[in-house]
Amino acid sequence: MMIRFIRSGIRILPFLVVILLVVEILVTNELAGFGKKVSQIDRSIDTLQEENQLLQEKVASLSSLLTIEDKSKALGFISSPPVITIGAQDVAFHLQP
Amino acid sequence: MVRIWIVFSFFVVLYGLMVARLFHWQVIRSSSLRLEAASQYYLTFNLPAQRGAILASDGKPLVLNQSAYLVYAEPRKIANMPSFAASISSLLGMDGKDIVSILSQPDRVWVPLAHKVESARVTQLKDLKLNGLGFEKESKRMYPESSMAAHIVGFVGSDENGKDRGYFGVEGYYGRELGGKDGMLQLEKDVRGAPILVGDTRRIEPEDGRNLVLWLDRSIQRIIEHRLLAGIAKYGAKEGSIVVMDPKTGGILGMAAFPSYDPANFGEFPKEVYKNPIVASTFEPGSTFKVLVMAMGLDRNVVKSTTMAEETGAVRVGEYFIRTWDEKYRGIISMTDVLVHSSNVGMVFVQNKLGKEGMLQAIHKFGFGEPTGIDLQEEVPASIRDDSDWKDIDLATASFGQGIAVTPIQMIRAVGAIANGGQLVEPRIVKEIRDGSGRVVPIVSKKTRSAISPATARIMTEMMIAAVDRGEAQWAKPKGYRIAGKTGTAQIPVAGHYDNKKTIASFIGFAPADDPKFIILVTLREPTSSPWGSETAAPLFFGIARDLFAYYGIAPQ
Repeated sequence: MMIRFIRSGIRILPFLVVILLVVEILVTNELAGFGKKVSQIDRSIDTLQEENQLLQEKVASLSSLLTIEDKSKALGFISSPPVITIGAQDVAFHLQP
Repeated sequence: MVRIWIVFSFFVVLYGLMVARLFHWQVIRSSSLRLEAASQYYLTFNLPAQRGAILASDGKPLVLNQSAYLVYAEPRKIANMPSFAASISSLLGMDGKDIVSILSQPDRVWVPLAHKVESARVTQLKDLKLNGLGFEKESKRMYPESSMAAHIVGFVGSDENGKDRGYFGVEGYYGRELGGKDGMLQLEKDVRGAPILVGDTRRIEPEDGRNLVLWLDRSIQRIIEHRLLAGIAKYGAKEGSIVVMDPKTGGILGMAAFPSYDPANFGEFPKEVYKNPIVASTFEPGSTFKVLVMAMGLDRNVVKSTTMAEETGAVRVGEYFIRTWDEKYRGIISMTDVLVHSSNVGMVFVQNKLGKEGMLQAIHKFGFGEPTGIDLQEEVPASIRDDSDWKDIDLATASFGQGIAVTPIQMIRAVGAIANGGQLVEPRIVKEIRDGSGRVVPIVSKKTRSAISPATARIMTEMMIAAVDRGEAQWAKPKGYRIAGKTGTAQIPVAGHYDNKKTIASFIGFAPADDPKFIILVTLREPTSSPWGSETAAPLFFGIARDLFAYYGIAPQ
């Protein structure tokens, strides 16, 4: 009984090897393809990060006080004149006899 | 039998030698062998951490990272060296001959040409499509506000290994928090040195540096830098500095000193300007120091604001005579008038009442002779002489701020105690630290100790208001506001004596006096238009105060 079982096992061994070889080739192929996908994703992450950084740089320089001051001057804004506070004693009414 | 023992001993010795040898290779040399093996099996790449940003209190960046590249060459891949050098020299700002000589050195396979080259220039270099020219990503500091707050932020240079390192300011003080931790990528390699696709891979992600949020308000910083530059030009001063602090929290809202430098091009400036004089240089405070001695006199109950002192002539201390600054003597004057007229004779009266112990207590309690603990790298403690070394004349001159050296940051912290009800606070530049995961760590300013009682602080504030309203600088004060302050004019010691023409003019004050939003210290070194603080530093102070009232929307009372 046991010997017959071993013999049939030996008979199917070559088929098993061939099947496993095919599976290995398929899995390796899949892995290689997957690796390509991963590297593509990595590349796009890098690109997006770089673009993000460039945009951050642009936002930072456009929102800097130096830029805002230049733009406001170009648009005709001027610094507010100093506030003069007049006390009650300085009002003309109080100067009248 | 003897032969058996000889053979046995021989094997024992042999066995012992084998164990010793194994111990040598497996224990003593183990780590170095492992490293050697790893260098044969693995390719290791450094994954640099991004340095953290420095943000103003409104969250806008003062310093952030910019994409940049290391440009390198591989001489073996270059066909025509002179033409290669000529193509890149102008873009890299290098001499073509220098490039050729670097590349022609024997046995060089990889030559770094320029660090931190900006993206736009790298795009131009890439467009040349030159063989043997390569690029590696690096990061570079960017300053959107240009040289604003240079003394606060510091700059990033290289250490002895060529790695980025922060120097001065918060870049230096918070180097570890900003720098982060580099990561590593380790790949198994084949015999030709190429990475094995399905080989062993080990990756340690870099931990980016944390962002710092400062107390600094960009608008206030802009106001004080603008005003200080104009003030230095108007009054013909050699140098100047302004500090604005929130007296309750110790948060530094603005800090400017000139001459300054551009942190993006720090190498083009003399090294002397790198240090922030507000924390790293000392000066004799002059009459601004009077408010502290007077406060201690009130606190120790040796004088009251109404106590009368005799100001009938110069007062003698040992072999010296101490005179008033204007050589005018007003007879019997109150302590408030001592401050209003900035009377040196009156201050000697207060110092005599305090005695040596009381005077030294004033100096120590207000934090002189010790660092304030501000989070800036270059702070100095401004040492003062030992308690036993103080002579009568030293105590007398210190009562009006001569013969004692302090830093501007020590001075503003001390007077800040009058503004906030008596507490000596630790000045802080950084408000909070934020990491990549959004976790916020607030930096709380420590109240180091109580310098004077709240009641003394209230009385002293009223006396300082009187000093502004009736003092020498009253002409410059904005009407309708209660501002507490004091002018100061200190002579500069030169070669063992004081030079009458060279002074440090200063003004320190806080407003609104009843609930202060800010305290400002202005110093001008050697103003030429007038040597007096009341005619130079005071109008500069009041100009800034006017701007801050408008900025905070504080109406006249």
